[in-house]
Amino acid sequence: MALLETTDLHVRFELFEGMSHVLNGVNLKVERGERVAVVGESGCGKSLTARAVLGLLRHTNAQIDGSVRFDGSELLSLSERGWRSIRGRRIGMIFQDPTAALNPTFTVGDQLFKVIIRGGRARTKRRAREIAREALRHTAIADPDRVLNAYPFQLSGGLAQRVLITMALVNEPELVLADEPGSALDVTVQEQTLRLMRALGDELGAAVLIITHNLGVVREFAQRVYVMYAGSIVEEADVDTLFHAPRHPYTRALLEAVPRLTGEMLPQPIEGVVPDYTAAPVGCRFHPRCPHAQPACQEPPPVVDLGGGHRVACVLPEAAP
Amino acid sequence: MRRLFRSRAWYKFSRSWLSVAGLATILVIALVTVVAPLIAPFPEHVGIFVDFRNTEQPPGWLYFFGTDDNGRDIFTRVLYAYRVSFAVGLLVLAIAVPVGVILGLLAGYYGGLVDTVIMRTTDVFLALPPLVLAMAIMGYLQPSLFNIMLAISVMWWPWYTRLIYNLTRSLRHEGYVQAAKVSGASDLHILLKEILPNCVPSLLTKMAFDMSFVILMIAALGFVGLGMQPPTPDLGRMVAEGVRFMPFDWWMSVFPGLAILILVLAFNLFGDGLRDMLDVDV
Amino acid sequence: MSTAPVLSVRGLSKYYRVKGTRVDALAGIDLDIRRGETMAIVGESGSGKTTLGNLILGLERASAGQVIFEGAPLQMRRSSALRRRIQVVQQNPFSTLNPKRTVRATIELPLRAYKMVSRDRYRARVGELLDIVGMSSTHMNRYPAALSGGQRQRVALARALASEPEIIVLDEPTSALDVSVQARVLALLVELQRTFDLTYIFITHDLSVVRNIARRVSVMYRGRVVESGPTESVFAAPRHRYTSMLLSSIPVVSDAELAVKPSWTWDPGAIEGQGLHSDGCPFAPRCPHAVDACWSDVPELESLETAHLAACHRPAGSS
Repeated sequence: MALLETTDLHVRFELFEGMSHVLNGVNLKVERGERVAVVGESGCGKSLTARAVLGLLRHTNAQIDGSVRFDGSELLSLSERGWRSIRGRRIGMIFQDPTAALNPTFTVGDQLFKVIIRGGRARTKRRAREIAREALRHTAIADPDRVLNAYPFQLSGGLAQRVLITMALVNEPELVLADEPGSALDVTVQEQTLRLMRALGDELGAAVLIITHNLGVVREFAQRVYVMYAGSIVEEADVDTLFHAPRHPYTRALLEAVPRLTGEMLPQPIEGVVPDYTAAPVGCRFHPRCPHAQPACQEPPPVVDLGGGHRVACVLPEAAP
Repeated sequence: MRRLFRSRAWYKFSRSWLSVAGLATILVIALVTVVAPLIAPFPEHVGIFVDFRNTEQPPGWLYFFGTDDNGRDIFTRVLYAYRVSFAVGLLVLAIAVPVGVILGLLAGYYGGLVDTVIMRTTDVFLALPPLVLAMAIMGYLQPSLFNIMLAISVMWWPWYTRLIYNLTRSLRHEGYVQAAKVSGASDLHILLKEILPNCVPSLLTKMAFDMSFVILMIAALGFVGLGMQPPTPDLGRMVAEGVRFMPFDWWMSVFPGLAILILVLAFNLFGDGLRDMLDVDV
Repeated sequence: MSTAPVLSVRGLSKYYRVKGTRVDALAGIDLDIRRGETMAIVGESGSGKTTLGNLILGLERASAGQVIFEGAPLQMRRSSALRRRIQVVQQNPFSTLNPKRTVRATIELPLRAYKMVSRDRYRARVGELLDIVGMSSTHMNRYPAALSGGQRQRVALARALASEPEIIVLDEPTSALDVSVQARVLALLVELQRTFDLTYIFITHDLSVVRNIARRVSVMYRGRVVESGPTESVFAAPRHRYTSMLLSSIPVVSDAELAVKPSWTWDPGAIEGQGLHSDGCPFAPRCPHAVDACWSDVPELESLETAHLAACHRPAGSS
């Protein structure tokens, strides 16, 4: 049984322009201890998927269908109380901008202790401080007490990011959900964030689901990848396969749009724009931009299993590269 | 009109029925004040008028809100008092807003000495409790429509200066302001065409809320006897004078009081709706 | 391409006073930019790259040093004839256009202010400019809210082109865009440069983009230029350790790129080192190769081979 599994997840919003059908049947799986990436451009629904999984769409006007199962139990029907025993305990979270994720009015320590105590790992503040100190040392913070007594604005972006990683991992969750971790920070700090997440995740045996727009981050961090376009998964594969033998025209186009450090050619744009979700194209949502589009693309694309966990939602999975 | 009801702005505004109710109330009251001479059952009761046969009549079909100790129809007097409230409210904003906006723009954009002089002046005004200041001015001047307006405006402009000042301070670092400078725009262009239009949503929202404050302040001045002088109807004064007849002739205070409440509430609800629609903080 | 620089920067500095202490945003930098080239200025947050752009554009006043344009010093307060010739495209597509002004009003502003064409030609010229950046005249009466990020950057580019400048400061023009859109904007920039013989000062944190668009690159760290040279040479053999660190931390998508990335042993304390102060090389606190001299003496930009300069006491590949 997979640790996390979403089945045919749909999310719709009622807007002024009409019904916006954003997530259009998302199926993804994260096994225990696995590092999985969801990659896509802005507005493709990747962050929305994360928010649906974390139950953050409750009390909004989102209409959710389908299923999100965590360790065998359904999350979508979970009560607020049930959520409290999962969020921050069994599922940790890391967000894009570390300085915005910390409350500026409390010290780092107070916020970290609260997480530890709520997670049931300590009853007293004193015990929580011991655990926090140990955990911070683990993220190569040389002087944990200085960090614990600091207010968030006194930390550099890099330190704040490490505090957040500590917060996400201190209760030894089974799954860590990271939405664009470190992408608001400098590239040198982002690199460190990823290394640290990988090392700590491995050590705890935690699975990591990373949401990112950066294919480079995917390649360096993840073992398996889901490529998302306009609210659907268009391709899934292990990292090597995806980067060496991408099959979906969108995946290929996305890879060609990335500027290369070797600079052999200018990156290639993808023509057209991401569709408006209130009037999304029928069938394959990528077909209006696809160089290989054909009449059959007006129907929902079949999910073709190419073996080895490589699946692609395209009528022409063998299209010439 | 049709375009308005189909717009995204109206959609957002109408998400809250309370804001729509507020707007509707304001429109109805505004209309009523305009046509007050036509619909008021006893227009002659507005001025000096005594009818000893009908003093202190309870609310009924003839006198909707009852009559006062001079036998005057309270409903008629409330309608005319609304006229004064509306007029003063609008005129106060018409004076305070332009003054406040111009000074706020100048202080926020130029900084330095201009900033210091203007903003320290507003500090002086803002340090004084508004009602006390207005009462002081009104105690010194003759209570009249013009003087009430003047007294309230004098206290009101610094709030607009401060609002626009803060907005300008942050907007002047916006990319489009920098880009306009590089495009050769004059300071006047930047202030009026680049910065001011982006202050309008906050400005409108604050004006909606301020209408309710101004109306409340006029009522408060009226209550302590510094508002419109008799026989001109004044909601605050009507409440104050009716208090002597409480609790038996309750209508004499309660209806003018309710009239204040409804108008103030309507502007507040409307302000809330505007704030949500325009997505601003005031 | 002439050899005399069209724009030079000499000893340019900018300090701010923050609670009584002096903070150097820019600590005396020298640059030469030649006509028709793309010069990339690379750095992370706090490197002073945006301050440099603002000083060149005359949006801020320099504390010391000069910007020299065609042989004459350029002040913050400059004639409109001079201001016209150096334009800008900014980073954030959401703040670069005034949300309350139409595309037409935005592009018309420089036409009016610099009297580029006669009044009756404004509309036609806006249409031409939109066409040049690959948009249609139907966008003229739209507000920015109705445009995508990529379209907004095109409008910003049209506004910059309206005054027919020689130099455009591109301050992270694509960093807020998706890669597919970024690719299109980069292609447009290259095309426009060829058509109008533009000189670009391309400010960015993204080395992959630099590799694809710039002929020369200057790497900035904490208000100083630490390395400068032809892009190929800097990427193939970075001399300054900071450049190596920057290159090595870029996440890449292909094996070929992996092969060209310098190896870098990560010191987890390196990030914390950002808080430490060095009187010498600003990078010393994060540098695994730092020796005593690095903490006490500011290294000068020195030529190691033709045109490739580095400010490092112990440059890579020298010992």
